[in-house]
Amino acid sequence: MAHQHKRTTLYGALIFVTLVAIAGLGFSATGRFSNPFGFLQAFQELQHYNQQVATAPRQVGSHIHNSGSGTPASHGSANHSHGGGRAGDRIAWPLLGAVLFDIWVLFAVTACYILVQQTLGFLIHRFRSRRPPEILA
Amino acid sequence: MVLFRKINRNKLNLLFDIVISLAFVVEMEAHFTGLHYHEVLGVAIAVAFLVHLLLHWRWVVGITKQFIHAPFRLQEARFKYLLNVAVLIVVAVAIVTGILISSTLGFTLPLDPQVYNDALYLHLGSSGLSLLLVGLHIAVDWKWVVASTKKYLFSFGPLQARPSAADNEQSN
Repeated sequence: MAHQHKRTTLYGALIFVTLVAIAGLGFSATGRFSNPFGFLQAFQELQHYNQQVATAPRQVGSHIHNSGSGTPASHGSANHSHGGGRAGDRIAWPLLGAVLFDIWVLFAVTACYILVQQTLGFLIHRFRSRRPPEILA
Repeated sequence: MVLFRKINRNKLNLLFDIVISLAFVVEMEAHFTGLHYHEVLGVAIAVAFLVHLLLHWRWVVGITKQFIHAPFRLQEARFKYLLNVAVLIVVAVAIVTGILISSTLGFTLPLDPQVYNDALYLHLGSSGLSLLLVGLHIAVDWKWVVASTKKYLFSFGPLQARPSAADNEQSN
């Protein structure tokens, strides 16, 4: 009974991983796929920006004052923008695809975790079952 | 109080986690919600994260004690604990920097432009990282999620879970 339940869970997990992969291909084919590690660019730009400030404080400082809060957003570092004030306070339904993509990212992380966990579990099980019995002294 | 006791703890955790996950994903897309709703939802999510932490407070205290007494004995729980600490830090950074740079919540902090830009970049970076970490946070408990979903949301037909499957798994 427990073995059957375990097998059902494994098949369910495999179906889930397949569906996530298909959905990923769908996002890619429709051009809605964006790099989930894009946030690294924001950290790089923060470093770059601080270096700029350190080397040429006056010039960069005046640039900030001129452009205000929109400076980093104009770099296009991520999906967010805080430079628009209260403009666009409505739900932008055409961008629902971006929300669905983020849900897919959560599923994709889960699928990767399941794959790694099941593969490691399988390998460890095989390794332990094939290990020769210990010779007692 | 009596009503709270009658509510199944696992069911409450599952429903709350689903709501907070959906809100978090919507929050990730500031262009979708617009800036004002993005900031209001961000504050609501900050409160929801605290409630989430309180709902699992017993687990947090228990595992912290074990972690202090025997830091190398716990295997899976140790990974889970370190992951949760990372999630807490990254989400806290995203929330604090988000409040610092907020402009539609009724107050605007007089920040130096350089501090503002640092906070903005940190907000963008930490929020992007938090999506992956929250995904991993959900993933480590996928068996509990599956069992609880079968039991409480699809408690009919062939998807019905074994009676004790959802209750035995430790959620965090």
